[in-house]
Amino acid sequence: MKNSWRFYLALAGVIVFLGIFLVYPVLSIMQGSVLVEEAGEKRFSLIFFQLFAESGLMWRCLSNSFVLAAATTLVSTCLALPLAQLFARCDFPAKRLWQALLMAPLILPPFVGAIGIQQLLGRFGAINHLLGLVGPGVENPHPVDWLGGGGFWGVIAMQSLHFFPILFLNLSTALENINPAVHEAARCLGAGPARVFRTVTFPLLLPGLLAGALIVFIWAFTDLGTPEIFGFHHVVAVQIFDRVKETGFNPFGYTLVMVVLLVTVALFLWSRRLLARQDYVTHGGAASAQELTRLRRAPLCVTVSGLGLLVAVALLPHASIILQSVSGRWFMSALPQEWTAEHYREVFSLPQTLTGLKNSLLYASVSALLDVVLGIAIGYWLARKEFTGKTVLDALTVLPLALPGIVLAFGYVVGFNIPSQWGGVDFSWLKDFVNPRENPAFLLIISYSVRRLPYVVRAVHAGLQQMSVSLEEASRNLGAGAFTTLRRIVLPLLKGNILGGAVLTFAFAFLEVSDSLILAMKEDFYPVTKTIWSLLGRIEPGSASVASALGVVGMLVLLTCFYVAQRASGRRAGEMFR
Amino acid sequence: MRIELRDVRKAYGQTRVIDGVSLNVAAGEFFFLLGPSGCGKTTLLRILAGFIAPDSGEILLDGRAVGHLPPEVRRMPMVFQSYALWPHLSVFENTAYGLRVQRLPEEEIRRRTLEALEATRMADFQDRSPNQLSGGQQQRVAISRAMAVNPNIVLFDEPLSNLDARLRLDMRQELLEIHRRKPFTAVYVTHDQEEAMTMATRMAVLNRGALQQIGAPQEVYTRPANRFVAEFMGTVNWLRAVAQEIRKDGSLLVETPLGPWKLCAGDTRISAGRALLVGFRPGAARLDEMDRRDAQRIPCEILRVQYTGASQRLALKPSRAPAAFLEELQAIETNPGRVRKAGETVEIHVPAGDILIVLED
Repeated sequence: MKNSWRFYLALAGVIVFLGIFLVYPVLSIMQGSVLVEEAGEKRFSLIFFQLFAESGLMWRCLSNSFVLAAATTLVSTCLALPLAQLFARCDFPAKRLWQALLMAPLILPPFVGAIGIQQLLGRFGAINHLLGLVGPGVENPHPVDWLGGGGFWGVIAMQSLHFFPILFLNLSTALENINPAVHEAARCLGAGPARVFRTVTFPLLLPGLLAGALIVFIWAFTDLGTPEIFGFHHVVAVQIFDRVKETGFNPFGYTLVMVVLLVTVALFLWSRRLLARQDYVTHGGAASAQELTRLRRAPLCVTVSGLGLLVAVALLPHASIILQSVSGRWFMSALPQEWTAEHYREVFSLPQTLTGLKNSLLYASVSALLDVVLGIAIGYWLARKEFTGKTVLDALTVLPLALPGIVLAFGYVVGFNIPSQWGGVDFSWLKDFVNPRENPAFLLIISYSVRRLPYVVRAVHAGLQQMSVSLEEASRNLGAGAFTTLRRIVLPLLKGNILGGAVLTFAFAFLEVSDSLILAMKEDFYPVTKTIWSLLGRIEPGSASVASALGVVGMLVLLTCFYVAQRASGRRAGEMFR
Repeated sequence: MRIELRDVRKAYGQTRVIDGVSLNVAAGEFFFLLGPSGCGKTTLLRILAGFIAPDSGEILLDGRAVGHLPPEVRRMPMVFQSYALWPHLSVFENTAYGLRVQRLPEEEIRRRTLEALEATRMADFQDRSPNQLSGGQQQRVAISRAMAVNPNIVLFDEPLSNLDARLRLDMRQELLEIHRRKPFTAVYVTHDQEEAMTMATRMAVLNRGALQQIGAPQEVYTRPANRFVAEFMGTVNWLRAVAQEIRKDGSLLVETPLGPWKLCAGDTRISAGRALLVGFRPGAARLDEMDRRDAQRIPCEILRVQYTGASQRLALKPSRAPAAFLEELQAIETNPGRVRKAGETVEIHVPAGDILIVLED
């Protein structure tokens, strides 16, 4: 069937949209990093990169970010891999409950959890007090700073706790996709369980594991919220954030972002190649059900205590921020001296926090709606249609995955810095609407939806792949046009996937950190995360608690969203995060 | 190596997947486990391999109990329906795997691996990756992999089911040839009765976790123990009958809807008045042969003819049946020169020895 002009018009519209909000910001950054203004004229120069290479500070930040990301990736992998293997091979009591508990970090972004963690693990924190009751602690002139290194270990801990469940889900799905017969074939040739893992399972998992680890690395490398909360400023993300706040042209901002962009794009492409290898490797034919080893006695005890410890640590941030939110006075003691619900009342009455909640609700809803419309269109076109420009669309849809939030946000700030006047033409109407310094709302919504778009497209695409084309053909055969078929056949069958994708976009946008911190440049437009950030910057004694209460509210919203998404899409949690 | 299963049971919840199965496999036999989907044959194989632990019962190899041993110690390589070749290893490394586990000297590993690959004519492919091979080639490598370790027992889990019909026939012959050269004890699971009949020394027919019959193919086909086995092995024309008397010469008189029949009673003790099913296979009915004295004659009218190339399948209506007899009988015309048409009459003769007797429960 030939494609109609209406289709090409819509396609052009989508491509232009993605071009403006994906490609153009990146080009702006590139342009700013190599153009030097000299005597009113702009010329190409690599001087900024040279200055960057000569700056000791920049190298330190870059290496810090690398080391942090590498450590986080390593810790996450060391947690996720044995866990995935355990859950795939063994059976033990309350297995599903354990799995749900291990997912707890997903409902609390590290940024928010970090608030409470400081209270708990800092020099004068609660843990030290508890220990003080038993032994060394606060009385000791050199109390243990569990977050030692000026927040270095704190950042690693928080990030690892947040990322290992994602890696765990990824690995679990990969393990499940391996034909169990390849393990059995090895065993009946004399290989014991350890050898089977070493020679068969691990090599087959490796491409997928590396791909997942690379993604974790990219996220940890570009994470803004966690180091910001811990006051660990010498990382690339925080440096970029600081540069944005500066008015006037600072070359380091541009070069730093370019360097980050080059690193993440390279790593991302590598991870894609690895994933492609993983997919061919797991086409193993009919998979038969296998019996799980039931754990008893000693192995069971060890497993349960290990899991218990891990869950306790994973739930520490949640516990700490809940505690923080209901504490009246909490200073130099293991538990709050006073308990109060005052902070929650404040959350729902202070204009600052109410604005934050309202804004987040608005931005998240609109971006989810935008994603649904775009996602259905793009997902359907990529799955069902052939057309010129298909590879371009496919590439553009994948591009957001390679662009970290900080890069995109920076690109928006410099790219959409529309002046009131330019070349004699009055652009103030556009400026008031688009320029983030005037109206952050527009670009915040766009950035949320653009960054989540690949996931929604993937959800729609996957749903369509499982749905035979003949269902639509049967409808067309009986006289229904393309749009009617879409409306009456395709969308109802996909509604689970679509709803799941939309709810996850909402959840992501609600507590999104990187774009929100950078782009929300005016207080009236602060979303929840930036409100929390600004509350923490204040000196008033109750601010941290109000921030925590706000965080708890956010956590509950996310929890509800995940539950709804899982029910709606009916898919296993693992597939939602691939 | 001799295999013995004693009263093996396995249940999942309320479902009894294996319901007290006992059997013996002699050393060097090509033994088949045959039955429809869900009958428990694969479960039984996997219990034998050690991947599933039975709820009760014993597994003995040459008299030694092995039920508590993990799969890697039992030394029974398995050939899988999905081939289960390792995609990250070459054909050579796949085949050599079992030998490497035994930590044999490198020279011996090389020699035996190449020998195993040559036996299946896959030696030229030794450096290839499994993804570059066709289904049949992959299965050959899987067989080499199992044979390289010189096993006493090899297990087969529907290994030919994923191959196309022509290839399946060729592979059956190859497997038998490999077995002839180096006789191992084989336990082979399939749902294809033709496969079982062409390859088995003996077979066990299973249904819903229970053993129905064990015997050589010909015995199971011509003297099925019950209705299930009879119908599983092929089409049967059934008639309900009532036993009248057993004569001194061993023949049995029964009353059928088509009149009185004389059958060979064999060893069965059947009392008068007993309800029975008597039947014959379409291939047992001779068409228009005049000189069989001990055959039952049934004059019929041809209702439909189905031409299959090799033969003609006839759907018949017995001419002298009472009005209440509604069943069609099936017969086969194997003579290509004799073209049958609907509406013609034909008399079929079923030799008494070819008539199956099954006690009605």
